[in-house]
Parts: sequence; C-alpha cells; structure tokens
Amino acid sequence: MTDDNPMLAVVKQDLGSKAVEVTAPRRKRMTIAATPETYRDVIKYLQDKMDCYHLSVLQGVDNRTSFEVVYHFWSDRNGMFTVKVALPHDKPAIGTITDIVPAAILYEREVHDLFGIEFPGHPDMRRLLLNDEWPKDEHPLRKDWKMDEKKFYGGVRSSTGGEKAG
Amino acid sequence: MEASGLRPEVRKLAEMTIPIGPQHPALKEPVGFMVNVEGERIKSLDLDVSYNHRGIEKGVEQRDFNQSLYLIERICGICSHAHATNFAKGIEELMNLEIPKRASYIRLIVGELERIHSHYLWVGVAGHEIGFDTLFMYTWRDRELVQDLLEIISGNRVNYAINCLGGVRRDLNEKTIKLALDHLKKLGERAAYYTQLATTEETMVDRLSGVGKLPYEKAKSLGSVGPTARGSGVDSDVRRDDPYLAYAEVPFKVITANNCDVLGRTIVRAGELAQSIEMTKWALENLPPGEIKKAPPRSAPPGEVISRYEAPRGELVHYIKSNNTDKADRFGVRTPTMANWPSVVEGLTGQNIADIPIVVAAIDPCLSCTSRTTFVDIDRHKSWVWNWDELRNYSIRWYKENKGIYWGD
Repeated sequence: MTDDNPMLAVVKQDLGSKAVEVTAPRRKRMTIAATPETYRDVIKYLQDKMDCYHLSVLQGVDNRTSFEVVYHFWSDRNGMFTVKVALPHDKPAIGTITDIVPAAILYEREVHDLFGIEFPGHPDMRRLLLNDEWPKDEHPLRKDWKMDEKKFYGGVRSSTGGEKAG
Repeated sequence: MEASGLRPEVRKLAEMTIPIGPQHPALKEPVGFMVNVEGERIKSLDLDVSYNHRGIEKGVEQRDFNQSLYLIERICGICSHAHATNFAKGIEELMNLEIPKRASYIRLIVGELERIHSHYLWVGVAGHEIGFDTLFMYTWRDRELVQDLLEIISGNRVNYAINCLGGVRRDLNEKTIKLALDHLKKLGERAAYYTQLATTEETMVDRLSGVGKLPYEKAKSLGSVGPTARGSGVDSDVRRDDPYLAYAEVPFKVITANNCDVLGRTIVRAGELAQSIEMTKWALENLPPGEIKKAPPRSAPPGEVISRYEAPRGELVHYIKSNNTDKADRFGVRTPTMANWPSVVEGLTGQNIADIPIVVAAIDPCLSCTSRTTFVDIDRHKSWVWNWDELRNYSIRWYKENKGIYWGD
C-alpha cells in the first residue's frame, strides 16, 4: 500500500488517550476523533508538532442523535488533519478556538447560525448568514428542521392573510 | 478625538447598525459594510455577508448526486467549474471511481481557462477601481478570447457544465485544440505585457504599494488563501501541495510576492496568468487519448471526504458525507472569499477611506457592487451613505488631489 499516511503511527503514539480514534483514509488525510475535554490539546499539538498553520474550515454535522463539530487543519508537510468532536443533541456547546486560531471567527458564527451549536467565549457571536427576521431557535441545517408555514422567515410579508416566506 | 470622549448619543451613532443596501439578485455576494472613521482614517470595520444566502447546502441534501452537481455549479458565476469539479472529484473518491486520464486533462484545461478568464477580469476590475479604465478595456477585450474558447469547448460562456460524475460531457477535437493553442499564444503575449505593467508602470506601483497591508504572519493566522495569501509571501497552492486531476504531471511554478499589499496581489495574479496559459498549452499538447467518461454507481458507500481545489480566488473546500444512498448526508462549502474576509478587515484598519474599493477588490470577492457603505465621521458627528460609484469617484478624486495620481486628462 503506497497510499498509506506515513504519519498515522506517529500521531497515534503522540496523542495516546487524548484521541478516541485515529484513522487515515489515504495519504495527506487523517481523521482524529477527540472529546470536548481534549480537542484543544489535540489542536495545539497539530499546530506545534504537525505545522498545521492553516484552518481550512470548521463545520457542523447533524448525526440525528448527536452533533459533530469538524475542524479541518492543513499542513503543507503532513496534509489535512480532521478533528471531530461529538456533542450531545440536546444543548450542544463547545468552547471557542478563536483565541488559539483567529481564523475561526467567521466559521464559528456560521455553525452557530445554521446548527445552533454554542461557542462559549466567542468575542462576537451574532448571526452570520441568516437574515435578522429569521425566527430565533430555528437552525435550518438541523435534520429535524422543518419550515413552519405560519412563521415569517424574512423577505416580503404577504399583504393578504397570513405571513408568507419570501 | 477618541470615540470614548464623546457624548453617549454620538458614540451610539458610531455603533449604529444600519440595514444597508437592497438585495442584488444579479450579484453573487452583496456585502454590507459598517465603517467607523475618524476624519480620513478607518478606525474599525464590520461586515455583513448575509445577503443572498440561498441554502444550497440544504438543497444538496435533498437532491441526488447528479442533480446536486448542477446545483453546485451555480454557487458561483465566475468559478463555477471549480465548485462542480471539486464536488465531482469528492464524490468519485467516495465511490472509489477513477476517472479516465483524458477526462482529468479536460477538466484541468477548463479549470485553467477559467482561472485565466477570472484573473483577466480581476485585473480589469482593479484598474477600474483606481480610475485606470484603459486597463479595464484592454483586459476585458482579451478576456473575450478565453470566453470564446470556453464556449467552443463546453457550449456555454458561464456555468460550463463540462463535468459529469465519472468524467466529462464533451471531448476536444483536433480543430478545437488548434484554435485554442492559437488563442493562447495571443493571450500569452498580453499576459507578459500586464506583468510588465504591474511591476514597472510608475503610477500603478505608486497607487498600489503600501495599500491594504497584510503582513505575512497575519495572512497565515487569519487563514487567507489564494493570491491574497501568496501576495503576502505565503507559499501555498493546493495544485502543488495536494495535487488533484492531472496537476502532478503538468509543470508549473507557484507565484508569490513579498510586498504584502495590493501590489503584491496584483503581481501574483499577473504571474499566474502566464503560468496558467503555459499549463493549458502543455495539457493540450499532451492530451492523452482514450475514453472521456465512466459510468458511475448510483450510490456512494458510507464515508466522508474533504475535497480541496485551488479556485481562482484560493483554496476551495467541500466536505461531503455519504450514507450509502444517492444523496449526500452533509455537504459543507467553504469558499475562498469567506476565508479572505478577515484579511480585508485587517488590511483596511488604519487606511484611508479612499482605499476601500481597491482593498476590497484585491481579494477578488465575487461582487462588483458592494451594496452601499455607511460612513460615520466621529469628529464631525455625522454619518452619510454612499453607493459604490460615489465611493469610487471619491477615491479617484482623493488620490488626484492628494497624491497626484490620475489617469484621465
């Protein structure tokens, strides 16, 4: 197998019990499952030891019974590292990483907006993508989200009868 | 006077959030700015990127891969091929499907032609924002050659839709290849001229150097990508560092500049134009024979993939999660413009109002008309609203009166 990621064994050994699971689907790709207690240590390790200077993006995933926040870090030498943190479906929250990774500032706002995941400690947590009239506590990328015909989601208010989504 | 020394109601004025601008459905990404100024200098900047959020990520979850491909093509009007190719290669990786070599070369050719047209477009827009309209006319004339080529190759001027899952939709014939090589020769001569212009034309160098400062360290920590990062000396390019399609085989150089300002970003783009033209020529001359597509399976096994692509504006990231059906369970997009917004804020803080148009244009955002901008002058206790044209005229006038930089008569 020439397509193996040569760093897999090193990362596994260095992280030890901080990582729940480390897998490498192919060269230049590695996935590390971490917990809300250890994810900051894992990210610091990637920054210090693996030259991960670039946060490509962080994204949310709704797995129906739980949420996941997925951080994608890039290193020119070692490729892409994906750090996954599972969060409970009820009141998901994970501390901000903007203090150690300034590039996360807009991405955390996006995930907060679309998934309703809280990032305590974020300096400026406002809506990013949805409009101001979007109902509070509704997060459209959640799998159980359905549009409520009776509610107003922004756009033009219908002049006849009930309010209509624009 | 510092803002803290003001009466509370005036300070409140400085912090006021005003709904800015109507929607511009014709533009991809209208952005609202809230700029706090003290006299001429920008104290802080806030931006609102929420206009025209179209919910494409949700839309993809409800469509099968084939339908999604053409929906994703419409994320961006200028780098449509970047999005479609990035999604297609992500899904193909999940399906364990290797596309024919000829198909990956054709995808590369269209991708590089797209970069050429996008960079020509940018050089023109940058020229326009600083009042150098002759440059705008020149580059947009040259860009027509690329647009014609893209139309001959794919059948469309925008949203080429050359991709299908498993390969490409159309083949290239000898006649097209000959015509393309002919056009590329002309484009190469023009690109050399623009590179010379960007590095030696005195007025342009004066106008662009030192504007929109983005130091190397900041470019790295703020996550800048593409020409914005490379103009600040960050040596990264997905095509070289994480090769996809046939990029591992095509020879090219990654262009960087250490100016860390708008001039650096201009030099990088002009240099990339020449590189892309050479790459396209090489790919056309070494196009392997054979099939152009393979039949893909209907569904993808459970898994996830992070697919990266060097779009004209920088690193484009798609995160795709499949669940053994013909639909994606999660499709996440991070466009290069999104990654570059923090660097605009950094580049504008402490600069002149007159530099807003060119600094914003320097990341090449997918917008040519940034709705409207609200100005709050802390000293004069007043605020006013300008649209993009008024701001541009002000910028040209300011540089004419204060720096003697002007391209008119």
